[in-house]
Amino acid sequence: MGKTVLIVDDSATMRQVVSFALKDAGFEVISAVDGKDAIAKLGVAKSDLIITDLNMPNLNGIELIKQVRQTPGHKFTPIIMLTTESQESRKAEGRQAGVSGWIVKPFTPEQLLGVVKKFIR
Amino acid sequence: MGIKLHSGLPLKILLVQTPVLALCLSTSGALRFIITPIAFLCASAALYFIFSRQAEGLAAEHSDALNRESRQMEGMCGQISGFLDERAQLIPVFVSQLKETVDQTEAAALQIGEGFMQIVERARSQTGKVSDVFAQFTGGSGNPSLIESSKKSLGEVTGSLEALNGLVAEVLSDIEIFMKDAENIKNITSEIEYIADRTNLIALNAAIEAARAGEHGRGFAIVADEIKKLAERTNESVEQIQGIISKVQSEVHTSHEKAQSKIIESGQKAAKAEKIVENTLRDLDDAVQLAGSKLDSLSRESHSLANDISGIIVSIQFQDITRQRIEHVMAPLVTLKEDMEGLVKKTGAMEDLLQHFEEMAGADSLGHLYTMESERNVLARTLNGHKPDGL
Repeated sequence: MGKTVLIVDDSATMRQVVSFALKDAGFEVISAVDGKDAIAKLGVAKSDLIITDLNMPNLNGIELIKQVRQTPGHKFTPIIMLTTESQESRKAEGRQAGVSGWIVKPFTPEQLLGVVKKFIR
Repeated sequence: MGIKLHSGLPLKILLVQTPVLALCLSTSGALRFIITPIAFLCASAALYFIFSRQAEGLAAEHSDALNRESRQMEGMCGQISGFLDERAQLIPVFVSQLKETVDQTEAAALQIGEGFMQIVERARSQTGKVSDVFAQFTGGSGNPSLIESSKKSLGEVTGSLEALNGLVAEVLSDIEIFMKDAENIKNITSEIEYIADRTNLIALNAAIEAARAGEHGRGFAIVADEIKKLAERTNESVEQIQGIISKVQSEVHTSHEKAQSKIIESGQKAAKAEKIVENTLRDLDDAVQLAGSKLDSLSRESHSLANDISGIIVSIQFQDITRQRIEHVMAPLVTLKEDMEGLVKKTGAMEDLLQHFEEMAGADSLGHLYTMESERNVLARTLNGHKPDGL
């Protein structure tokens, strides 16, 4: 059975393209519409890696990472930020929260898989 | 706005001060001490009168100017307030239009993405099926190919035909050996026949000699007769054997000829079949080469499709990027609306303030400004409708 990736993004378009790129590479995919939904999904489904947007309603990417790190079994789960934001200050904020990788939109499937495969295969 | 200084004031002061000064200078002694204070008192009274009239004029002018400016400001504030209020009400419409556009674009992008992904899936499925079929022909993943199997089977068939021909040739060779053996047997039976003839002759000679011996040769005559009988029987047997051998030789010869004919025919057919098989396999190889080339082309197309996928995945993301940029416009628009509404409120308050100023501030502020009773009197008179001279 393949590895499972949780995609968290409030944009249905982004969830669709990320899901397509990952499924095409043989990964299992589950989706969440925001940080709060992601926490709920983590409680019921296995996730080997999380890809999250930064700016989302309910619970943003940084807050999500902080909560995931407190969730049992996910202290070391790789989390990749997928966002339009590229400021160093935001990246530093992400690193402090425990982000594992940072991809700036728009991404190519090769870029995405390159980062994902650093953590899972 | 501005209050102009009365143009005749310096001349009036000059006209008052000059005679007083002249009068003071023209007198002397005790008279100067009496006249000078009186002259200055008179001059002061004249100046007070002049200044009072001047103040009245200035106050009236100031008050009217303020009122005019205030009314103009009020009008402007009302216009600005109305304009801002009207435009502020349009902002939610702009925001709704933008939101609607974002939603519709997202729905369209999702549909495009979904359609594209289905196309990709179908294209890959088709390529996969073609590859599987091709692999069945050409082999792969350790499985023997259909073509290889066919080649092997056809090779086995032609091999079997050749083996059969070889076997038949061996049988023919054995038959030829058998025919030679039969001929040898026939030769041997001729020898036996000769021996039998000679034996018969000896038996005849023995019978003659026995007859010549008379009574003494009677027993010998019986032996000679038996030998003669044996020789005759031998001859009969030899004839039978020769008959059988001749028959067998004839039959075997016929079979040998038939078999030889068949083996030639079979060899020709096998060679023809082998040629056909060879040609068929060559055609099949050519077809496989062509199919392989087509499959390579299909694989290249598939690879090109992967590049297209990459490009389209990047393009679709611009919907999200555009959405965020529009949201970055929408948020300040909402703030702008709030700011405009705040400005409308402030403009309203300013309007009230100006109205209040118009009603009260002019008189009150001047009332506070004027410290002298006479100034207040002038103000009161002017506000009560008494117009000063020259206005």
